[in-house]
Amino acid sequence: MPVDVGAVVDELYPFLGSYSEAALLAWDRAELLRLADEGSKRLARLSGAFVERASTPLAVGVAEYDKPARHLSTIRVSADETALRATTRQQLEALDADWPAAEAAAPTLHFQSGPDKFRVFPMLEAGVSGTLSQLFHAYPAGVDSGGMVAAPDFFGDYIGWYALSEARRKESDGAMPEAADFFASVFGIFEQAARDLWGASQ
Amino acid sequence: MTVAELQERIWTRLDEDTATPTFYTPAETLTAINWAQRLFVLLTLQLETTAVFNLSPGVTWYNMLTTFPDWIAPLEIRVVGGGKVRPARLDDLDARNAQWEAALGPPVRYVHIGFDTLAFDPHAMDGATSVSIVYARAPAVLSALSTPEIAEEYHPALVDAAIPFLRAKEGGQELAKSVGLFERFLETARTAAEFTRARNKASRYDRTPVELQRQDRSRLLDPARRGRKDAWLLA
Repeated sequence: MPVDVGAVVDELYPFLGSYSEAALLAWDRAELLRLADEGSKRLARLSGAFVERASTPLAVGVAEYDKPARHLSTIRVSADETALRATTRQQLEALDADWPAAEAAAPTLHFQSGPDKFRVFPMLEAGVSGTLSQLFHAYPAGVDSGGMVAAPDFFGDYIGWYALSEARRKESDGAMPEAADFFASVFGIFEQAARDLWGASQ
Repeated sequence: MTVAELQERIWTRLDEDTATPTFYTPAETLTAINWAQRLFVLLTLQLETTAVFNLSPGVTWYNMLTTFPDWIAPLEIRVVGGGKVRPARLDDLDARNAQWEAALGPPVRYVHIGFDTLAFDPHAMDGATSVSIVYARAPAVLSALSTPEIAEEYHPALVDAAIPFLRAKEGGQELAKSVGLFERFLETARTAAEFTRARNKASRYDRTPVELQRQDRSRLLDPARRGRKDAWLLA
């Protein structure tokens, strides 16, 4: 079952000393959703829990492609079900002095090109088509809007504890640094388990 | 022990009226018990399920949560009527054969990445291939009438974890007094995980629980108690 982030946040009110959104002392639902969203991004960054796949057509004479939305780190790139090996500009310089212009029937290598692009080598030559696939770590979408996230129930617990910790750390009448520390400890235990089970993304 | 019995034990320890609880409501107490049980299961991988999974022809990648909503991690995979499917890393598969994604045949290896991404090498060539999967699973969400799925001898640990969750809204000394219970919950989870680890190794499973003794739990101590051990709580 996907995690209903809105329902997760609604369950937090009693742990903030309130039984409805209207009675919350120093927060509102939108703020708690934003905190849950921060938590989801933190978990995605610290663990390799969220993995997605994306495909795009290979274009003739095009070397540079966009990384998919919400991309954190690349696990694997393939062209038509053939793995491309990761490389660097330095290795390409050593391989071919005119590497930016090289073309062939299929790319064999890929490398990062700035924060939101990656390049393949060589480019596709005229008359050939193909599909580029990426397997990558991502952060989940739809948390800040209280949407559904395809993740186990544990994920809902984690973002709930994160939101409680940060809410209690906020400078306000509801501040409770000791409660913030407690929930930070609990989600810290979860993070250690997550790294052990699902590895790291960055 | 049922959830109702657990709730009563929690309220009794918190000096709450068990007939008409007002400060710690049944709903929030249930949430705290659910949090406790799910964390316990994540740390111990105590629950497992065996299920048959039909592979689709031409499909290499699967998201297991779609089929098994309680999925945590694979423990053992076997081709139905065939041999064991061995765990591998993506790099290993690419090193063996850069075109493994296109290879057809009964699966020999699998890769598990993230929450639930699973790939089979080779992938099924027809719709007649099925695998039997033993996987560590999450517990069902508890209701007031249900019984926690973890072994009954560990049910008191749920009380230990639920009390500090509930006392967090009070903060100060009330929370500080109960943080030691959460340490005891983690200690119980550690021993349960060791037991599961031994069982999984004996079964030649592909996965064992998180090694809790390697985890840094020093931050768990309440600042007021940092440096002082309440040894009796860890017994």
